[in-house]
Amino acid sequence: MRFHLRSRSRSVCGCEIGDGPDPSARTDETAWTVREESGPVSEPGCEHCQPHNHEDHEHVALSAAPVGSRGRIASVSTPGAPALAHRLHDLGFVKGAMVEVVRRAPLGDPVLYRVCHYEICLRKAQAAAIQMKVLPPEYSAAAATVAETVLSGAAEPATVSVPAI
Amino acid sequence: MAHHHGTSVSTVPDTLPRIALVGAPNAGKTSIFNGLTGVHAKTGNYPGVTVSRSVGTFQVGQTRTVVEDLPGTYGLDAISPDEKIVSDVLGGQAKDIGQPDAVIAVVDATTLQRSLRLLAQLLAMHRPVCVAVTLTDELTSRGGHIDIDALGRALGVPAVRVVGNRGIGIPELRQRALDWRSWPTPPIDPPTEPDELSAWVDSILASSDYRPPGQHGMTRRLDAVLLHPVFGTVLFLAIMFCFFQVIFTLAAPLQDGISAFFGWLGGLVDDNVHIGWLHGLLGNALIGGVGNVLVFIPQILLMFLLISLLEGVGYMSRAAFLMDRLMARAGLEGRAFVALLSSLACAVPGIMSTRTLPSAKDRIATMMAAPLMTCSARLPVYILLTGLLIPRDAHAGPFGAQGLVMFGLYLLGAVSAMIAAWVFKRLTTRHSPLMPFYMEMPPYRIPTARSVLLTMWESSRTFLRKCGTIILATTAVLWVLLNVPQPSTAELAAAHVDTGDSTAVSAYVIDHSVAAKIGHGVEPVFAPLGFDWRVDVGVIASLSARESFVSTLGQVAAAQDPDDPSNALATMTYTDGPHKGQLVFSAATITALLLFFAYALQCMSTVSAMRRETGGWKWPGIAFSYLFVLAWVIAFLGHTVVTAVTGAT
Repeated sequence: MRFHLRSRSRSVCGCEIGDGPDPSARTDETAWTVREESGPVSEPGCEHCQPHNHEDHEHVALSAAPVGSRGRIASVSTPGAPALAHRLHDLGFVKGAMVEVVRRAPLGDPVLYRVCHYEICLRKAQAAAIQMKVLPPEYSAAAATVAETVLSGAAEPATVSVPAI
Repeated sequence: MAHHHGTSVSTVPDTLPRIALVGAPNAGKTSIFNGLTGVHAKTGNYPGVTVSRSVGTFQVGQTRTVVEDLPGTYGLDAISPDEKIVSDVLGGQAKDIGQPDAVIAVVDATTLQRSLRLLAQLLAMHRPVCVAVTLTDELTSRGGHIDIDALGRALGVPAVRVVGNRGIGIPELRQRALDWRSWPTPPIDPPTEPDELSAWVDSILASSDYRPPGQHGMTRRLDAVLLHPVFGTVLFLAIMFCFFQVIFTLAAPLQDGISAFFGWLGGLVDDNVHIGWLHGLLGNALIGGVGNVLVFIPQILLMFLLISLLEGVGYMSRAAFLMDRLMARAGLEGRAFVALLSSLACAVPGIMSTRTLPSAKDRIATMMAAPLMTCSARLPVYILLTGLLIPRDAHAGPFGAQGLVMFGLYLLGAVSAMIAAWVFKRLTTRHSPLMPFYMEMPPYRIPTARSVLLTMWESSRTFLRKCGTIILATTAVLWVLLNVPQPSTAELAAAHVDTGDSTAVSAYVIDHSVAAKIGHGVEPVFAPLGFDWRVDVGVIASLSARESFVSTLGQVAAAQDPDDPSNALATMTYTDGPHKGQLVFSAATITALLLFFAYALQCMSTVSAMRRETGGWKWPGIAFSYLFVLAWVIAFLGHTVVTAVTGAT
């Protein structure tokens, strides 16, 4: 099954959240499409539509992002350690890639992330170098549910109905 | 012996075509390497660094090809000296190692989006590249899709689907390797700038009709429990508890079986061998000594089976994830936990498993700490000594006192190992920046029986080799030293020894043997710890392998039954010096012995494994010295404290 990807850089409520054309998003999150094909969904309180400073609100260090949050990587900066930035790129932590905070180890560190369709854990020290543009939680939760349903082959994308949020 | 490992790598002829395997740590490189080369693989070290090197060959028709399994890496831009070896070898800058003629890039189909970034860096090196795509079966089962031929066309290089452990694609890869000269090369280099590279990766994925795998549902559900802050921790402790239960309880009947077998063998010797010295050598030294050690084979095999099973299903990376924070206290990372866990069976596989640690500093610190973990070779010694120290039915609350002492010794080993690791990490990383930590968490997989057994066998082989060589030799040498010179009848008569009393005769022989002279020679070193010359002989013997202590002491004490010298030992008294006539195995001496064994590096196999892994004598030398000094000092403190408490020596 193939998905038609439309308006990738737009949030569910239609505001721009991406950094323009976003090549790495092409293959990763089918949920985008699924959501949109399920028809317009009202988004009360979509953060992106609120008049606020994006830099303050949306960009968080990956190390500070709560478990369960999803978003796109906005930047990877490791001042004074270019090799580390390079390695984080090699691991799939590149600008524009979807990343999900999967879980935190019981003692708080390290944290497990999902990026590029695989899971990898980083310690806080490394995750702090990565800035993430968080997607609103209600979006993330629904997307995750839909993504799992679709990918487990339980339903065709067109028939998936997303509960109104 | 162990030496054949280190030397053979450089003997591979230079004239044969050489192909390097490059890929990420979990991409399945090793199973492709094993598939290609079969049993014709040698391991050694890269010159100057503590990175192990695997080289093998395979033959198709008349052509023999050399394959080199380069260390797993996520990128060619090295962040540690040991990672640099990959780019150095590929670029032809490695010392004494020629540039490979061609490269097989191993990419995991389930993480293709990431793996293509490494591939892009490989293509930019302008060596002929063939892509081996692994884990396509898992990709399909998780709802993903890939067209391998289209991937090859999009990349402009040959691409082969390989399922290493089932042998699929291996013959094709061999055929491909034959004509590496005619492999197509991409017309232009992939971009290097990160964003452009992302676009390149996406275009390749799109061209090869790639659909990423869905989340592994089972993994998600299992992790929700196994990595849960509460249940995950409880289950981790439960798994560790079961781990030891299985090893100590399930192994017991098997061990009894082996004991019975050696008992039967000893009986055969008693009945059929009537030449005095041969009877002694076969019965006491070989069957008594080596048999004592072989009894631990079921435990060792079970431990390795469990470790390779936990590794195979993917729990070990979870354990590392759970333990990372704790290991960080010692300056190590989660993966070092796995090495230390293996060291509970035997430090040798523990030291070998430090290969999974990306940083050389971490590897050294872990290797220096691994011998402190209570390995199974210490068990017979601990069992003997705690048996002497505490009566079997003594209790402390609801727990058996012997069991508590054993638990305390395990805990002491683990805590000391963590402290040692911390100290070594501090000493070695004073001037270098901290290595970043990242660890892939593979989905849970059901390993094939073959791969589990193969891993188990690889680890067990080292232990078996140790039994067959070092322990056998030590026991035989000790037996000789304890029995020469043989006194004449006249000499015995002059010393008023009843020649009809075999126990008295053997006691006389041992008291006047070469070993006794050696024991007396080193007596001043260990006298502060309360060891007399007979204990010293046991300690010297145990420097080759700890288990030798039990069999040697049995011989030294001239006990009727070398397998259980406890009775003879319990009543053994000092034969000279200021404490003459007092019991040797007082609480203070036993405590000192236990502490000495907890710390001293009395294991030549461990020393040789360290030499192999670090490529020199420096680190084994340091380990042996610091552990010996530590053992002596702590045993002395233990002896002093217990003497003060019990008021006797």
